Amino acid sequence: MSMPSRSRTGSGPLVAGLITIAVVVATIAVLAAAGITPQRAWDSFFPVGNTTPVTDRAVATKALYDIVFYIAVGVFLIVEAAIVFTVVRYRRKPGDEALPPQVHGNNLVEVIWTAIPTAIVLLLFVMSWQTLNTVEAKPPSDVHVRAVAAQYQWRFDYLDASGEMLFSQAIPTGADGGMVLPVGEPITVTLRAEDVIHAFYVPKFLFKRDAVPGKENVFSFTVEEAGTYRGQCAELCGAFHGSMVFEVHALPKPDFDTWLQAQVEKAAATPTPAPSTSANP
Amino acid sequence: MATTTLSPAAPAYRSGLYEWLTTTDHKKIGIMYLVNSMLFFVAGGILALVVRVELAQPALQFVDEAFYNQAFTMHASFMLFLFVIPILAGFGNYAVPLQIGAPDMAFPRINALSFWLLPLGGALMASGFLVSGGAAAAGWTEYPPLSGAQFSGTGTDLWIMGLTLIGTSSILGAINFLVTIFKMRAPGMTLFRMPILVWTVLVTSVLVLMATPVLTSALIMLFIDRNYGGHFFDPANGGNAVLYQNVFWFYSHPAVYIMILPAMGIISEILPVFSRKPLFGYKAFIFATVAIGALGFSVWAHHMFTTGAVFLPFFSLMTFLIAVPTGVKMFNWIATMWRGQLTFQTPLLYAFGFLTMFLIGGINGAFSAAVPVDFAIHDTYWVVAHIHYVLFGGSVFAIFGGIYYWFPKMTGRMLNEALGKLQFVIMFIGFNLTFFPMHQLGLAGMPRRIADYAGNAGWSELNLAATAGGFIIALSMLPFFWNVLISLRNGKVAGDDPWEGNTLEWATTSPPPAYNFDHLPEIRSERPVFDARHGRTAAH
Repeated sequence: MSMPSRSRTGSGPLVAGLITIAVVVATIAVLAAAGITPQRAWDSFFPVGNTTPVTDRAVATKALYDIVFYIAVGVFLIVEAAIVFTVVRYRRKPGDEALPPQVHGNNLVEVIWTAIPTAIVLLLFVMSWQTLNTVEAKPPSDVHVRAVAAQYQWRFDYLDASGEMLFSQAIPTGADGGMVLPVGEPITVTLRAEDVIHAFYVPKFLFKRDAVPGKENVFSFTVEEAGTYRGQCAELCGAFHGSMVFEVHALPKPDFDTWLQAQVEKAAATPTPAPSTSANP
Repeated sequence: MATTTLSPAAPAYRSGLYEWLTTTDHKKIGIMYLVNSMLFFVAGGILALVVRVELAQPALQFVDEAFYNQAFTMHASFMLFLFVIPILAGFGNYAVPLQIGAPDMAFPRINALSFWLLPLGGALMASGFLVSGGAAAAGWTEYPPLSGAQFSGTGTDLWIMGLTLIGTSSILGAINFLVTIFKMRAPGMTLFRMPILVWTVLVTSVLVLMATPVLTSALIMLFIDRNYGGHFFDPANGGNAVLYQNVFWFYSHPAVYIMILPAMGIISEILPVFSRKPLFGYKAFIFATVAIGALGFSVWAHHMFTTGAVFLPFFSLMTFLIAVPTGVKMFNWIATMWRGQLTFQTPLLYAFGFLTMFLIGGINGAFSAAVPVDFAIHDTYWVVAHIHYVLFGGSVFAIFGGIYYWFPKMTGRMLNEALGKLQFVIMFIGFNLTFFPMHQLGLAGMPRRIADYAGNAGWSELNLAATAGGFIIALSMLPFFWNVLISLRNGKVAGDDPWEGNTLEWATTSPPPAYNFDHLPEIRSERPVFDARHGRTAAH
């Protein structure tokens, strides 16, 4: 019976090795040309996308991410090391004619490597559930914004305590537009969609929530740091989905109050409010 | 031993093309599954390059937004429904009857029908590019209302019709596999002596049978909404947009296991052969496969955490738990190689690629199971990285491993080893360069499915790296296709059993005759050919 040689002779490994080196060098050159250094690569992972969390919820989410990340790196290193070690150590050598020991299993180690991952994932589940309760909490708040999504624009309606609309911010970005919020105050956002599904996503908040037609989603958070934060629709909503951006301007409380007062007066001075009050179908 | 000299019991072969078009031989049908799937792999790959070229730098250079959306929608539709799922069904078609010592599938003509529905469904889906408004463009998930008549064109109807046919093909195939596996095993081939690939095809078939009709119902409801004024998913008329997502993912999450379990089966065939050891923990492996299949039905809503319409803790817990049987398999594979005698032919290299890359795909999935972290990374490029580490790092590496492993059996010729190793190395590097930076892109806040991004968003360099990687992957396909072409003609003659295999397909000729076997070796374990080669005493 014809059987090809199992020895590792021939030019195959050499050729493959040379090509590996060539491709690795080319890859490193491309990465270096693009300005990606090992330090930058690490920073892009940790903390989350080199992002400082700017809301109370984002702080909690980042803490959870850090734990998951460290466990993930640990599992990755241990298992990859086991794979690479096994592959390097247990190559077939010249003279390996007799079969290796035919081990079919070992109940003890199998129980161990079932139990340890189970313990790890249960731990992760409990921790993520706790964080989830923090992220989902809805404390009473004085600032209530209704974010209304439609192809391909965001609108922010500011509501009073009884849910009546004070005014509507129809410009999603720029110095005169955007979702303006106070720092240090709990904020309640109600999401509404007028046509298809969209998603409210501010990367620095480490949070997104879908805006679903026919369903109002409500969430809360407190911005802890003043600044302008980029936001974007995160659920495919049509051809110009990628340009459906907005900005969040987080201002110190006094500045926000001044801005809010000015907007309310401006709305009162305008004879007809620009967009329709009710988007509810 | 094992050399069977056979004259086919079947009627004389008709010649050439006619024979292939009319065949009911599971081996020919299996090979046609493979060829058809590779064609859609190339088409889907070209669409992926369109996406990557457009994203290489900010602003739109090559395509408009509308075509961009069609490109990524059809890329995913081709790759999932017309490449990964059917090519694994193709391996099952080819290998399952051989591995259980059966002459053919239980229903050979339905088997042929299953196959021929695929190019038909694929052509129907692809014909969207020819109609006004273009192909389906609401993503491969086709969420309404965006996929509704108001927002999407005729391409979406063609997509629905094509996918319904493809789903029907899967259902017929699953019934065929189940009947074949339960009713046509050779004497001595008990359930717990079946090769792991057969077990994974068995569990996959159960998943298909339970899940695919649910997808079909979602598609038909969507079709009625679009064309006959139904209101299933129309909130303005009492419908519910999230209902579609529930029904869709009730299929499409198990579909991820439909796309990975047989790939795990292929790896579980390759590793023992090239380690010269039995699979470590054979029964544990089977139970883990069954557990993944069962748990796979209780995790669908983890795709919907951000909808605000899901009971979060339950789906979070189930998603975390599914990591356990997957981890068991990983450890079993490593233990299989442990203290073995590994020989680095190309199939083992791909198995090595699978182990190292699928591990990453498993680990980065755990981030999404932690719901608050999912709120941050859902629908960003992190998720794109995750799915590609599972389906490319996992399934595609296993698929190429399977091609190198069974090509000698299918054709009687070996594929060239040097070209195979070359392809592996280039593909491995290209794959990581393409998909690893997508983790960072997602963490940096880049949503998926956007045609353009701002130059100051900080995403440009990583996108450039990913695009370069995409072209390296494309480059790695050249040695593969060249290899297939030259090896079909001039490849080294394989003989019956070039790898010292374990399972029954290596006990017949290469390629096997019609109806596969003249006589079979005794089946006393899950490695009958190994037993025949070494005697039972050496093995146990």
